[in-house]
Amino acid sequence: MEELIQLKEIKKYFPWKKHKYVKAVDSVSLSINKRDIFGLVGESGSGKTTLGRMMVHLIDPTSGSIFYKGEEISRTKKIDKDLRRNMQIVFQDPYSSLHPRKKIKDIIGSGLRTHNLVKSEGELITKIEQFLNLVGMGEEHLYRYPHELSGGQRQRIAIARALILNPEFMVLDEPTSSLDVSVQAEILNLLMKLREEFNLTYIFITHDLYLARIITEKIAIMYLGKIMEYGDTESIFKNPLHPYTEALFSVIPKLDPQKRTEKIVLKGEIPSPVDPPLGCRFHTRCAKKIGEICEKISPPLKEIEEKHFVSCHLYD
Amino acid sequence: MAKEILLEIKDLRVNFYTYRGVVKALNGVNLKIYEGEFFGLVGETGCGKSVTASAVLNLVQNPGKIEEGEIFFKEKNLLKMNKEEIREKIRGKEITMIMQYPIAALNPVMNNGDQIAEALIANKNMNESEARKRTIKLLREVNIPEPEKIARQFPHQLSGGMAQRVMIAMMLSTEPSLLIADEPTTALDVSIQAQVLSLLKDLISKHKATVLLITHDLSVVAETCSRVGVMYAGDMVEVGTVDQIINNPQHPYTKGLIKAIPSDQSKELVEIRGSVPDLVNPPSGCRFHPRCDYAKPICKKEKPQVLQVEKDHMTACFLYEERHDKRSKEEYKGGANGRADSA
Repeated sequence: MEELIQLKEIKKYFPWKKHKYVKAVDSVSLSINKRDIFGLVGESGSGKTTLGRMMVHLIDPTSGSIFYKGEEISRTKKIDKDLRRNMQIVFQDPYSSLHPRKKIKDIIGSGLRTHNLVKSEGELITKIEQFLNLVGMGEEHLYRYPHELSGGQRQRIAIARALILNPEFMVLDEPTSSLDVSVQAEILNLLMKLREEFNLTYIFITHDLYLARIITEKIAIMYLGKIMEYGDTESIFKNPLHPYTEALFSVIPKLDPQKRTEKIVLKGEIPSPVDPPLGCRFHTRCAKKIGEICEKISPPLKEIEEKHFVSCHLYD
Repeated sequence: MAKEILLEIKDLRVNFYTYRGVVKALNGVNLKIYEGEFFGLVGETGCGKSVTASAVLNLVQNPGKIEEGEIFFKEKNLLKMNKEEIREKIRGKEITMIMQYPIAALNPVMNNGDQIAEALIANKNMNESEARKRTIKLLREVNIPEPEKIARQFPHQLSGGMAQRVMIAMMLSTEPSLLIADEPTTALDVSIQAQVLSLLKDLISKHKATVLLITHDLSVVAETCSRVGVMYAGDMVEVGTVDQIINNPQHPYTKGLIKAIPSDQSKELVEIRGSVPDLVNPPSGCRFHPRCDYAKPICKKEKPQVLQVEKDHMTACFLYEERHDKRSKEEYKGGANGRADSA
């Protein structure tokens, strides 16, 4: 399979007061193949959104490098316009990601203009209409403003805006977390249909494990800026190896009373990313902590089963 | 479980008079909550779950108006009481409420301890030092580490989970009979959600209170509640025990909702076509009919009655009515009408 994006030892530290940093992403290495649907799963503050934004070059990593088709894009100050066109993002909150004073036509069309993809106004309108239909909306929305649309409709506009530039890969940052469940199903089914049609690669960021199971093929479970477990979605669901993943699975509310297992309720809260725990980041809440080694040495990601990587001293 | 009715809502209608027209938020809602149970109210945005809760606390404010209906709490009609009576006897004492965003609900310029103590002084006739002692005890009860320190801090210094605990401590301080929890864990992470829900469950059984849990997440209800009411566009479409609703849903909306949730049971997501109707011009008849795959001509014309499926399980749908009529005809050989009285 062709490799599309490769991350090597990516770090992102945001300055925080004097000489302190929020370690949002800390040494993450990943590789994403063409046509993957790759899930980034974690609780708030795990760094999944920061990682997603770095992948589309919205922010630069503090250190480490990102390769896109073998070409480094993280150190380049001026990024190629065509490369920009190829990577698009759909944001979490459709209420703040659309310009409130622009018409739908201008929101979807501005990318086409910047990249000189259309020659005339007529061509622009035809193209926008085509993509509006593609995301299940009518031409009557062309001259409306975002406030006239519902949350689901807005998210469709955001998807059309990203798709119209014919990108190769898209970061979907919790695209449905602010929508109702019945609308969520609609948007996700649309995204899956579009992926088939346009041969897209998706990075799917979510905090919902069951959603990740339905949508993705591979997932990385993140905690405090680090990847705890990573591999094929099915094998992680069948056999979660990291104590954090296990705990996470056990606490999600389940519909079926028979599938309910003993809950591993995590003690305390996520520590501050300004002073993350030394050693394994999870040791302060871990039920299976072995001893001193967890407090001192950060466990490397190791391949335990085929294509199933875990960062935990239990498997040393 | 002793089946004493604690709260009974009868044919509640609430309208909001906006510049766009009259929003018919509640369209004749009926609901019974028994003493000591954990009742879940589920539905999507705008279905009227929170309005129902505000009506119980007499918090429906301008431009909203309770048009019709009765709310009985311990056999007293809350809607017949005047504002002072509700404030002095009911709200904050007999019935308390936990909000969705605890940090927004707490007073930002008062420290956490004083907020709880204030409620104790006002409602329990305690003096200041008694109230302070009790506050620390309550904070300890909701598993807050270093309660003395947290009591001196302000709400903005707390994380979402901690603030929700402070809120729970405050709401339990007056030993209410009914606790309304409006999306108490929606703003929290799953690991913190599990902590808060298990805490709530423990405290409720200890204090022998009744809970009305409002949420959009059916799986949360399945884990914590004993009975569920499913609401859609201002109507109560189905009520039953958790087991009945999850394993034997009758109303097409409930069925759709279960299939649309990513859960341990789903392999794919099935959408409910269309979108939630605008309640200024709600669909005629059954409000779900424009999105329903089984809609028939009668669904457009009449509002379906609430029928009994089996013990404790009610639904309002013509599909069920048809099957029900057929069955009761067989049972009674065309004799008496087997319809149950509306719940």
